[in-house]
Amino acid sequence: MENNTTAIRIFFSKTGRAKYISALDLINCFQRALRRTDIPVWHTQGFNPHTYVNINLPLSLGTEGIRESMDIKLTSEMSYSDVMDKLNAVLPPDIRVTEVARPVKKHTEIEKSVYEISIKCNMQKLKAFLDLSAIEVEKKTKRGISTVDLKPHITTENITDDGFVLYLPSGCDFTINPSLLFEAYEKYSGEEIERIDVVRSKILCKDGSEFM
Amino acid sequence: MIKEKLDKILLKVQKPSRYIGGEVNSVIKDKSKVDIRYAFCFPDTYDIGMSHLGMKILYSLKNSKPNYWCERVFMPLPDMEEAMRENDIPLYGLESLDPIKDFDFIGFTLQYELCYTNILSMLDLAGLSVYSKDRKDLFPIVMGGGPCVCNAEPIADFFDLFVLGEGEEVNLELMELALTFKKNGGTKQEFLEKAAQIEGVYVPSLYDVSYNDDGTVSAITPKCGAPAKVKKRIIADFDSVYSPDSFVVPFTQIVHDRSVVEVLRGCIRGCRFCQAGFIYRPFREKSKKTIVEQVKNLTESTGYDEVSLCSLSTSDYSDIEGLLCDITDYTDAKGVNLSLPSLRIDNFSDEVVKKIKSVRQSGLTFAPEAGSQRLRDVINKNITEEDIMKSCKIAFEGGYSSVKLYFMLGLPTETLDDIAAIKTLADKIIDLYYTIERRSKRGISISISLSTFIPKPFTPFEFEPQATKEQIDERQKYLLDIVRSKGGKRIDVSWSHYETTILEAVFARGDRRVSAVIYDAWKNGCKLDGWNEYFKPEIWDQAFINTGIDKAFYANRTRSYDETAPWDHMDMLFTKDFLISENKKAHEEKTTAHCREKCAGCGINKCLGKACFKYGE
Repeated sequence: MENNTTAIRIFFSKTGRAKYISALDLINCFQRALRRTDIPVWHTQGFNPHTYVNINLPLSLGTEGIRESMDIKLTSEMSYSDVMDKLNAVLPPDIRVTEVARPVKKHTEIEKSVYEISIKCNMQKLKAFLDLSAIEVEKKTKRGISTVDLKPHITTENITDDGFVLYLPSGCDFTINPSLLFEAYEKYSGEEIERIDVVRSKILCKDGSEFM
Repeated sequence: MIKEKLDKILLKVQKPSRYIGGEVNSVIKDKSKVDIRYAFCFPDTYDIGMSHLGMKILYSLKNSKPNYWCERVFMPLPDMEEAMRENDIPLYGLESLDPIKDFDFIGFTLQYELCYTNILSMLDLAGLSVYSKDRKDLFPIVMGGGPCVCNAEPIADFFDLFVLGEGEEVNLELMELALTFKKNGGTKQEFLEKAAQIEGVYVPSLYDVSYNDDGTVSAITPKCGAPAKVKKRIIADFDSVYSPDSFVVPFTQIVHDRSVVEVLRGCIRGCRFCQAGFIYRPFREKSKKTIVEQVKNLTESTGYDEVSLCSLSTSDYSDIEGLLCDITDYTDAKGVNLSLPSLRIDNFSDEVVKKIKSVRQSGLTFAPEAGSQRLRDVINKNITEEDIMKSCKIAFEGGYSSVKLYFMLGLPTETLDDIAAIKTLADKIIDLYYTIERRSKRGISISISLSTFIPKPFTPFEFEPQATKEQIDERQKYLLDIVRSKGGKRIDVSWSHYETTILEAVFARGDRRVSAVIYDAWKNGCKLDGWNEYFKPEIWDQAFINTGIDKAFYANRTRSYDETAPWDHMDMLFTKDFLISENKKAHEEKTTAHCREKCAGCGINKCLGKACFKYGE
């Protein structure tokens, strides 16, 4: 029964200590947070009802995100700002709701993630690595391990001495986890990356627009 | 600093969120405004420690004082410990991520004996010497609390002080004392001598222990004004005892992932093997109103969709039906599950049984502990076959089809007839199942879980020997043979490992000399002994050889009533004479009525200044 429910999209950041929360634990965390509020949230029906929460694009463990989103459904009216304030009052300090809005795009339209990478390593080697004509890695899929060439899937921008912007495919069809690229780099260079922070700053749709 | 180092290693270890804090309701304070910092250490992993109610209570209590800051610390699993050592990360508090060696207190809760090597690991990982005598500075003060303190002798050399009994008040008194020392100065020795004057505080270095030629304890002599007997602390007004309004809610799944409300302390039953049943006396309850309020507060502050009632025997709550009705009124409306571990349902009205059935329950569990009524009388386990059958009938009619039964092997006076009775009982339950018309469509399954009896201090069985490995092996084999000969498909038998059981037995009734074994085993790589995958029996065996300590002397020897026990300077507020009389009654196969029916005369009522119950009204 989904009569009279309104879907809303909650944009949030997941930074600092919260980057170690796995995708599954994050759902649990939001469900509990919602139960700590009086937000009129819709529960799945059936034998074992639970609070409905849909994370639009899971973030991999160890990665921060500043424009993540999830959808819930309201069973009665509540203003977007109330939902935001109530959630922020009960969420852990490193997860913050930044905006609540009406969903514009479907999560199936998602195609790319934009990551801001700040990194401390041998930049000469890193640049040479990114310029290779092929970057072959082993990728685990549902059907087992296969070899993928990352090169055609990655785009980089603004390479400086301490970082760059990285575009990688994300979504229902095909996803590349940024850690694949950096593991490949460590293998290539034979050196351990001294320090790396990966922040997902944007999620893009197939038509090139930002996921809203 | 530590945060940056952690960022380098956390993605390489299993379930990193348990090593980084930041959970909802965890307490962050401004260091510059805090006078006393306390590292509350649970000497086992996060998943286990975070499930422990005592820690939640004391954590919230200390943090309720604005100038005290209590943080949580757990035992890292080997992958994390290795990564920490490689990267020079000392053990840190989960809230501030600061090294705990700079804290004022490092407090361990001692819930079970098999965690002792973890304590040494954690002290070492913190960058501290494991022996108290090698830690010359006043701070950090390394202290211990919890049930194992009733005989802390095997670990006495590692600790500066212990707290005997309930910690709610005495913890704060110790922190106050530390505060005056911080302001006025003083040495560790001066602090410990002062602390020993606080009721419930045991400073082991202020007691000399001498031994007889036969290895038994000759005398325990206090010095520097320490009391001859350390008196256990109890909270007299239990209904108004501090109880937290919120719990830290972990990100990762832990063992007991729910809110927990304590309904009563102590136990009226007096099962003779059960240490908890004696050391947590006297029996005290919270009022219904208080309990329901705490259920509400915790549900609302944690967001958990399950709440559990906690006590040694919730069925003994004086108005259990009324309590369950009041709680389910709230939990049903909220869509919260109420879980009731170890609740006897045989005396309940149909209406309450229906209410409980609406609660999600995992299965039906009984702990008859012994197969025959004779042996149940010996151990004073007041559950009869009729009680079990009655509960099973109710449960089977409600659709249950599996029963779990807990037994102990090696109980005093046990014979093979008592073992055979375990199988007979299982058979009767199976027969009962097939007489129930409304039973489930599934076949019945019974699982029998066998543990080995461990004699514990402050129980009537503290004088008894633990059965030897040969005896236990023989009894296990006997039971397995008769189970397999008939009805084996429906009955599943599992048992505990003797190697860990005997360690527990040695530590439980050990004296100070046993610390050498613990140190040696730890030095050679033992830790996480309660985990099958990490337990290293051959290193333990070698440690006993290296230190010349005889397991059998501590575990398998009958102790006379007049022997000085290593724990005789602990006063649990009931008398040794009572334990002796209970021991004699056990050998006469005589039971003792539970406390509500008739006072058994243990002597605990003296600390209350009145009878525990109103009799004859």
